[in-house]
Amino acid sequence: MGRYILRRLLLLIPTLLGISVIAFILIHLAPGDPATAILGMLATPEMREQFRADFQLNDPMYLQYAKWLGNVLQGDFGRSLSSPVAVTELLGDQYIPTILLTAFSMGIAMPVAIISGVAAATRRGKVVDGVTRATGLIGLSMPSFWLGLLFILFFGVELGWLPVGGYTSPTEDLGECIRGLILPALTLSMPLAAVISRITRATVLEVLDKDYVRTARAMGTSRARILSRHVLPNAIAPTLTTIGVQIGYLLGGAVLVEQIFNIPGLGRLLVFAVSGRDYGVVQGIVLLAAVSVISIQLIVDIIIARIDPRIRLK
Amino acid sequence: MKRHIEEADSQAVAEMLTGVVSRRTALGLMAGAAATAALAACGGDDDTEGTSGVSDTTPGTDAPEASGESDGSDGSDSSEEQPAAGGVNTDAIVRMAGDQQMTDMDPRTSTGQLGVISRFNMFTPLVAVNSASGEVTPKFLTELPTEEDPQSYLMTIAPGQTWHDGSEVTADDVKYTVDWLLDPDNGSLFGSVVLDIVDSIEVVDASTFRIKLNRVSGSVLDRFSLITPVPAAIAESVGADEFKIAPTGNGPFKFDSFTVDDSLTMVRNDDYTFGPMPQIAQAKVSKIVEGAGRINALQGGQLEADVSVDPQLYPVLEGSGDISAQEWDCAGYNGILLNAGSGLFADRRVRQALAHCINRDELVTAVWNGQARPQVGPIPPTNFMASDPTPLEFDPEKSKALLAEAGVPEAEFELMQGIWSTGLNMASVLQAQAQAGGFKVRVNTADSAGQYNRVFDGDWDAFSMRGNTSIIGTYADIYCRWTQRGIFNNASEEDLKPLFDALEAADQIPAAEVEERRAAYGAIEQMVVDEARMIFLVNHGAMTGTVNNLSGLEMGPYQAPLSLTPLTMTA
Repeated sequence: MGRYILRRLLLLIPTLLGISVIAFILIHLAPGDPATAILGMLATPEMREQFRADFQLNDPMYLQYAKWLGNVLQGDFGRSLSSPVAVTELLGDQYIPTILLTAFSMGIAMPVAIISGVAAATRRGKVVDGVTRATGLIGLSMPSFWLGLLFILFFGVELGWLPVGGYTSPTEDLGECIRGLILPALTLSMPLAAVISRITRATVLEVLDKDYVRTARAMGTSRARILSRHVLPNAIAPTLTTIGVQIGYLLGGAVLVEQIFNIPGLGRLLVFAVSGRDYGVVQGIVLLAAVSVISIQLIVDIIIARIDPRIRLK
Repeated sequence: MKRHIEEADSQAVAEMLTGVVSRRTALGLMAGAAATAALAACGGDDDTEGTSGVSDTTPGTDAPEASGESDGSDGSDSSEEQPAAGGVNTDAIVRMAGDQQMTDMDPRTSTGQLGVISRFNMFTPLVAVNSASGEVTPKFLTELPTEEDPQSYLMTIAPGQTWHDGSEVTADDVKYTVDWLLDPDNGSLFGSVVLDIVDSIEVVDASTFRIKLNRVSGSVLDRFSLITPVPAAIAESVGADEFKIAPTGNGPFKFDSFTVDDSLTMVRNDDYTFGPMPQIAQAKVSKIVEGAGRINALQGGQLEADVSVDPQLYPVLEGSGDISAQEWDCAGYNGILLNAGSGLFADRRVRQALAHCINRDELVTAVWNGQARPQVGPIPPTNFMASDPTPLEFDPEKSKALLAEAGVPEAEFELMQGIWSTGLNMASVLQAQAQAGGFKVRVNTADSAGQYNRVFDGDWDAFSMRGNTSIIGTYADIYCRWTQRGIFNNASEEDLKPLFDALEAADQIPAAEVEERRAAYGAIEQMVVDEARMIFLVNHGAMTGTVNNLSGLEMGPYQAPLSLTPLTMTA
């Protein structure tokens, strides 16, 4: 297991390097230079030139990348072009709301999806199965921006139960923080829950058809015991793999949800940074998101390997 | 209960991470989600109360303070009683939201909504100008600057001002500020554009200073209104970057906290003796980009004021009983900037042809829901110096005739349009109007950054733009000069010379000669209209929505709240 983890960690290096190169090239290829985007039409040509000189934007692209990479290796993501703070500070401030939002969404999606998936599989063709599949379809096909707006209008404006947006730090007021995250997390978790539920249903159905399950039934083992001892441990691996993959989509979805609910997280920051051509911030966010996704996938893989000895053996 | 949920969730996550994924874990997570939902339902009542219009109180304060009618001079009274219905709540927190960038509060550099709020609330400008009447009033000074000669002004700091750290305000602070502004390395637009008439500043004594000009200017006092002194010692020690995000000023509000591009919290300066004391305890200004998001927050009781109401959503507020909608005079404009240096629009007749296609009244109703007025020249119609230039009248047939005369009967151009709500409607209406006048129009919608670049590179035809020049000054010279610069319209220096010569001459006319100045700027406005390098379309107001128990909000020409001192929340 140790060698496996080490190998995966070593693979991180070329992966992150590749991602950073792609992110760097793409944002630099976008039309519009940061001096114009950030200083706007108000700036004089002299001010724009000084801005470029201050941030060494006139250097060749490869040199800019090399300098940036050198600084990143020392833990310095540079200075934001559009605000007078370090990128590290910005990312630090805005990473927490995003992490809380994704964790909260996962916290809602996972139990709902796994339970409904198992229930649908064990009651195949019954009402529960039909309801789960129909709900899943709705969750998958409903655009999150639309769902979010509906939640805001109904729970926030009409009923006034929950905040319509914004973010309260958990250290400031935990209750308010949780209340503020419910609607965005629900919005984000709906498609996720739908996917996990469908995968769970399919894998549980597959395991239920296995000989050892049939044998256990024939031996008179209780339904609950069959599920907990024989079905779930064997069906959970594909579900966990799906969850690992979905983390990336969750972070992507946070971009939209944070905009709708005005949460000062990485997603909202990324939108502003891209439109403002704030190169350092875009690169920092992409790298941080990549590290997060890869790390979570690694953790999921380790969990699966621990649960399922067959994977360890492979 | 909150602690229980937190522990349950964290335990479940911990179990997941160690690979013990079991039914118990799943059930635990379900319980957590259910408990969270219950918590939300329990919290509902609190929020419903919030929508009644009673603002939050200062954190840590047991009950809202009841002071009845405030005398506006002492906000530190700490009665324990609840404010009577209709009484002023001096512990109120007023939460406002706008849509502009929030990255800089330094009044020396910030040209955004936040800079205006900072200038008028945490700092004090030398003088203030009422752009509708032209009246200038001393703010930081005892009286208006004394004109020793047309190029030298003597000023005295009004007594009773201290910086928020308790130190005295001195003439050295003013000198430091002006020198800093004039230093090109600091990249201040105020320094390079507005104060380009300033030659030097000298300290006469601790409270007196003299500013010498390098030329005579009739708009000198307007320009001085953009000088907002900062404390030299603090600004120097913390550095320019830090001062932008945590400034120390001398105004009725003190800086409290700031999250970059998200929110600013200012608290009442209880030691303020220089003017009226604010009647609220805190003002929180947030950025909510989406117009609908701000309206939702206002209706959901999370805001007391939306200071940038989207014109498309204005009717929603007008029909709302708990919220008041207001429109304020403002210098915001929409226009079509044309590439007068090359391509189709290098020919003046083609530019004029396009101007003849414009039906401003239709734009006002179709795009702005009536919340705007036609603007023909560069000076906003709400400004005291505005003339009434004769437009190139709406006449599509005349447009076709001019195109034929110019030899381009099938003129085709690309209209660049930035992505903002009214802009997209604006582009489609403009496209239809231009096509009725004989043009073929391709609308290219993209984010502003790329489009600005094309303008500065000269690679474009027409750019549908919005702007508000008042952010760098509310005087006639800047309105006329700024929008006609060659870096905008790509026109040659030779082509622009008559206009800029006229501007130099107009600025030499003393401020007291109002009618002479008005006539000079009237002629300049007409030149701008006839040359049609930029076709001005509409002047729009600043629209706000406020809860009914908030009063005293005043918006300036900059589309930003001015002094928050008169804000009053009643119970």
